[in-house]
Amino acid sequence: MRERLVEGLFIAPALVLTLVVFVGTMVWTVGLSFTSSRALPIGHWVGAAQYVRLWHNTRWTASVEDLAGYAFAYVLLSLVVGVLLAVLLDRQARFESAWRTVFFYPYAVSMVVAGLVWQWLLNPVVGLQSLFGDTGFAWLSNPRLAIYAVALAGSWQSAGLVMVIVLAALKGIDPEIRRAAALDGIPVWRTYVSLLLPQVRGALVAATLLLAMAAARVYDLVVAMTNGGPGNATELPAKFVMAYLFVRQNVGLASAAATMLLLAVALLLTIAWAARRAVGR
Amino acid sequence: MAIDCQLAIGPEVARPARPHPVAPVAVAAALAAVLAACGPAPHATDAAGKSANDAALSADVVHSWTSGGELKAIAAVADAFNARGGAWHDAAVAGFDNAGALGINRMVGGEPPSAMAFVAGPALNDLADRGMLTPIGELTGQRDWPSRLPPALTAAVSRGGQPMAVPLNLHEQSLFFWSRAVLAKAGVAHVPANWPEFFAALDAVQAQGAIPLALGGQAWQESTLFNAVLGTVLGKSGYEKVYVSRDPVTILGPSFRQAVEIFGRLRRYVDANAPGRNWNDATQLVIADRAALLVMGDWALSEFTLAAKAPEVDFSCRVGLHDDLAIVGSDVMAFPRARTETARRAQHLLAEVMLDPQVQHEFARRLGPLPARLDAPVDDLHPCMRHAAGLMRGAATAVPTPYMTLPPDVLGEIDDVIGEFWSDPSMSSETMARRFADVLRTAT
Amino acid sequence: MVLPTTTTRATGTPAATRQAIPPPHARWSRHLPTALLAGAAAAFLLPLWVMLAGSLKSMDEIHRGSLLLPPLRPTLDAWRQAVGALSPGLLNSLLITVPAVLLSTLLGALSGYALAFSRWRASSRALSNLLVLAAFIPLQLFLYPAVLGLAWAGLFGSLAGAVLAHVVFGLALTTILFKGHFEQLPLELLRAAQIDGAGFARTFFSVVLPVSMPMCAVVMLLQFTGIWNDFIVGLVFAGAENRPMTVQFTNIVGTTFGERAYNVEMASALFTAALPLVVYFFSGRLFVRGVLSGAVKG
Repeated sequence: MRERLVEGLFIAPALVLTLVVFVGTMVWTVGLSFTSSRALPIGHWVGAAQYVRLWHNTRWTASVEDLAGYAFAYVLLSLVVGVLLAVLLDRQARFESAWRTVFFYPYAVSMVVAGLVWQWLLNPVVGLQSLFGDTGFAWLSNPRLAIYAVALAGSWQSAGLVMVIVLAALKGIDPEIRRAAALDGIPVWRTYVSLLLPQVRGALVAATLLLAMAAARVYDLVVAMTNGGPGNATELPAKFVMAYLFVRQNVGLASAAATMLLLAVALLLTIAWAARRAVGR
Repeated sequence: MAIDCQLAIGPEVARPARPHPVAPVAVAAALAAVLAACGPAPHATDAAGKSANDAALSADVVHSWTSGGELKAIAAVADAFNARGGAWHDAAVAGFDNAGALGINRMVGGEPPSAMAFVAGPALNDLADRGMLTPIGELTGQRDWPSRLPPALTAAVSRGGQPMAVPLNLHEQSLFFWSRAVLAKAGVAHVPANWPEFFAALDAVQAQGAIPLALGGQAWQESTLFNAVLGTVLGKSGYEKVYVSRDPVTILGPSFRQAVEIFGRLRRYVDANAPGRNWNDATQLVIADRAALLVMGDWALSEFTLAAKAPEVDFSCRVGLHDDLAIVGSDVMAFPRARTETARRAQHLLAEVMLDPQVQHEFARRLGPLPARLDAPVDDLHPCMRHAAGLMRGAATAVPTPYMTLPPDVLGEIDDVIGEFWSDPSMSSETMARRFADVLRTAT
Repeated sequence: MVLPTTTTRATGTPAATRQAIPPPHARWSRHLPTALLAGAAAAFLLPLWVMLAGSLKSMDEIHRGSLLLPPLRPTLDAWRQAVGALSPGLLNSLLITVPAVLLSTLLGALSGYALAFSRWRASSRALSNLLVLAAFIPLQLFLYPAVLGLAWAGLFGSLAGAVLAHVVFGLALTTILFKGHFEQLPLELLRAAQIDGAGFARTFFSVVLPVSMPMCAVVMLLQFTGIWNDFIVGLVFAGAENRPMTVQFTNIVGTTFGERAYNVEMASALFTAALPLVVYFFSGRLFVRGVLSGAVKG
């Protein structure tokens, strides 16, 4: 009995904080989305009016589309680059610390700085374009490409983390497997693709989860890099919510947007869990 | 706070020692938390954290004037405040999102700033209606100052008949900056004063290989350009039917559409690197004589001055295309309800200082716009502003910029419509007008 | 999912065994990884170079030349301005970051352990799921409720308030990371502690936590970066006199209507990132050991 009490004590901080802060915030936000709150939260009920207004708002619909584009590109690029770098470092054992620092340091830098420096790099007059000529580096002016430029900056920041995670997992694989594959004459790339990478599936899933969380919350990066432009090409939900919370003074609409984001994430997570259970853990 | 510390530690130490490994850790953690709370946390009763015995009246002011020139300008107000017995604590934070987040959260959290910068207009309404702002009438004995303001400004800062904020300055938002060198090189004899001359000049400049229109492709810059065009095409009465009366007939009518079409035509005169460009980089284009025209507010003058460019020598400034209609805006200071008597007295002093015509004059001189008060001197301001003053201060020659009359979320959505039209050459002017009208219809 | 290789992870792969792999077939392919790495390194270091070069240039030079070229007439002007503007906030950043990192790591470890091994299975699972969901929510949504909560507790506008806000906001991620790690611990370890008669709490403090030091390093590093670079929590919750460095940094780079000195912005960016970079440099190895020890296994 005392054991259960102690366990309860351990869970208590997490439980209380989770309930109050996270669940409380979610409930509060959803509640506010049904009110006509403007600059400050009030309890004046208006039904689903904010949701109707939300889905007629072109900036919101653009934010949703852009998030899909951003998340896809950012997660994919970070994973691909991170895994490639991990594989390369796995092959090449010398100066590993140095290489690791080179690829990991961007993670230490804030998203604001990442957005700024990539904005400078992609500046059509004094950035990369000035050295490489007009070979189409004007990504930030192109409404179709701008979101991918932002994803590129995000990946520069996160690929190192993926690399560290995957590299560590690769190192944990039984060397017998590698030796056996080499003795069998299997080419190196096949070894990785068919044997080694599947062994680090757990690490890949964890990395993907971390990347997805960062993608859903992205704000500072896009504000610093493009501030939503050109037009609505790089608008994102977190930015939409922030703008309507404080500058545009419509807490009701911001809450509706936040609720939609919450629902979407909950749906995706449910699908992911169901898929994992179906495939077998 | 000392008493609080003692009480918090007391129970922990008083508990009998248990042979349980959790206890030491729990105590340590609690201790850490309590020490942190009792640490350098300014949690006295005063809004600015000073003891009530301080002789100087402490005030902390939230605003977004964070660049070098802007800081010098607000220092004029701060110095005047300090000279009269105040202690100014600057709580500047860049970006209106951030300043808004800071100010409103502080009000909600019970630590309101002494004063907070807003733009004149409905941005204040919700807070004022909820009684969270102190009416200026309670902060100063002066009664005549509202009449010393342009009428549109008085209306914009008043709610329920009483002023709720102190206007600091009067901005002009539709200045046309022409590069004389670029025009001369293109063979344009004099600064264009009507639409035919305008387009002829831009075409000539474009043929020469220079950039006709310098623009930064950010939402507010595109809106600035659009509103300047709208004012020129519709004139004062038409413009006010759109932004003040929100009359759908006017918005869906032919003049509005014509303005939209002219605005659309301007796309062709902007260079490919415009999207995302900052306003000062756009200004640099005209300063460096690489572009012919910049449409911008009066804050651009500081860039010209820094580059030692002289008006009518290197560049020409006009108030709008016809040089006959000013689009005016204003930065104002609002005063959240104070929690203590000392804080109120500080606000009292702040209001008095900010209403002083001399202080307003010095602030304006350093920042660029006009002072808000009509009785503040303007003789030593930039020649362009002196030229614009007559138009800006006259009731018949000035119209309010949209933020003076639209609620912030409607304003934001109008900016969105304008920006989307600008980025999408395939959108028709009818569609734009219709969406514009739809947004304004939702304004309550 | 526990792989048979789990048991070797704590000790790492000895270098000797890797030499046993026969050398690759062609000579060029031995250098290919290095060449590719070098190329990637150039791309990754490019932004750092741009910041460094730009911070040493004058605004004139920036307007006129390319950002990628080295400074023709290097000057420390921008650095002087940046350091002058940012150093007042340095202490506040430390006062907020260090306690927040320590507390959030401790709390995450406690909660992760509880969720991993508690016998209250249903509620643990529900809590875990909620925490994962919560980790996706953008920070801005927590501002109002947190303001109200901290104001009620009398902590709004203080360093402690900012620290507490960071701890709470980071709870979801730290708990999930620790939980994943603890679930990967070899069962023998826990069974041994059980046989010794250790209870829930004692197992945690005497057995599990000491073994998980590398994992703590991982979480602390991630939290350190996140909290040090944070802006909005420090701005809203810390109070007017306790602004962290990032607020001043935003004032330098975020001005809307003022002039923009790009060289000062770049120097400021480097100065702000200096401490995390140093921390990363010296703790890189520890971080990898931590990840190696099974931190992130899904």
